[in-house]
Amino acid sequence: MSGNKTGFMGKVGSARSALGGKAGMTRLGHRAVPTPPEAAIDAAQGANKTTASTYITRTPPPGATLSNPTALLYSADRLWATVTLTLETAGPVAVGESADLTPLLSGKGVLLDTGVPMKITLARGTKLYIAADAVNRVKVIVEPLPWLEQIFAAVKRFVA
Amino acid sequence: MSYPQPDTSLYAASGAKFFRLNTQLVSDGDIYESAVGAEAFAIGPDSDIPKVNLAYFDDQAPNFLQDITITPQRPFSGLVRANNTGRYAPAQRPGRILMWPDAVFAADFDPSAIATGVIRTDMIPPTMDVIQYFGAPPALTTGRNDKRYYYEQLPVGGVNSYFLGIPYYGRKYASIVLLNGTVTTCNIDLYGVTFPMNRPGGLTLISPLGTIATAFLSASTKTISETDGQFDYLLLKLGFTTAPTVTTFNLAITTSDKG
Repeated sequence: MSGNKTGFMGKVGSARSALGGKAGMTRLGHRAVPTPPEAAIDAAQGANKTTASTYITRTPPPGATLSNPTALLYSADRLWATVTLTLETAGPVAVGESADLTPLLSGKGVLLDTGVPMKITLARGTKLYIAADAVNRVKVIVEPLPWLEQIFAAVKRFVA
Repeated sequence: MSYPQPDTSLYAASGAKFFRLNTQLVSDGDIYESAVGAEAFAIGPDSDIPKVNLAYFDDQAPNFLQDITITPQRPFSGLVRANNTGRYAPAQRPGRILMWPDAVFAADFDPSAIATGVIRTDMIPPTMDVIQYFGAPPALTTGRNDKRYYYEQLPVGGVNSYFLGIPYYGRKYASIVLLNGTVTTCNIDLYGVTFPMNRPGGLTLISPLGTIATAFLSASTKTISETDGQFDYLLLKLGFTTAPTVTTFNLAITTSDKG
């Protein structure tokens, strides 16, 4: 028997693990250090674009009322995104993740302040809704955050 | 009221920062509406009407209707909801911001109590000027512009009395400058008119403010100051003893809020 006290056959530091990582001696002992998967190139390049537009809230036609004036403003179904909203008119305008934000002043959503930008970071899969009881103009700037999904997935794996 | 009613939603949707309702009244019962919320209301610079009532949806007020009055000295700053989804009670009309003049105006004013014979009366309709701000205004200035009415000719003809009514509401000063080019003598008198609250049957108060000229042939001036009283209208009477054949009559009336 050789003098290898660990019983490991072969040179330390040269083998690679079956996981594709580099097997070697760390201060914690023999550990296979996982390599994060390479970032996949998003085929839909348009999803990474920053967009800027003005949203005009709808108003009921004369003589009629809307049972639920809530409308979908943005759906972060592909990527995390930062949405910046600025109310240009008097309002009130409410935004939130619920599909029904009425009554408008009930607290189901967050009221926008005129002329004050509001930044919201939406996780992937989150929908943002908007509601108002009159015609209003809202500046909408959407800035995708594609790296957040990778960070979120990596953190989940480490935690798991 | 002007027809069709201006649509405030179009102003808000097109990016305007304010909506200006600047219209001559047909009657003092004209009511205008706005379907868009506001951050402030103010009397416009060219308004003859000195007080404008506003009504808006308030679910804690009787009939869900709350009202406020604005004047040139007192605009209103604060969020006023249009609340199109609400319903006023008991009419069940959709929520709107309502605006109407808080002044009496009688387009059918009859001056026969102070004149005889054939009479022609021209009452200049008052203008209601209100500014609705969609966003917070940088500053709310107060006051109305001085207003000037200038005529080069007046529809005078025949042996008759001609009356010209000018909105005065709340003004403190008026200057009247006349130049008679009809080559016919006439008597010129000035009155202050206060319309009755109830019509028909109400009593119109016509206060003499003095004779401007008698047997007037050339030029004359007259000023009205705050001490003469405040009236709804200034009424100028031209009485010809013989029928004028020339209608040239230069007239310049300036009304001001500055005493």
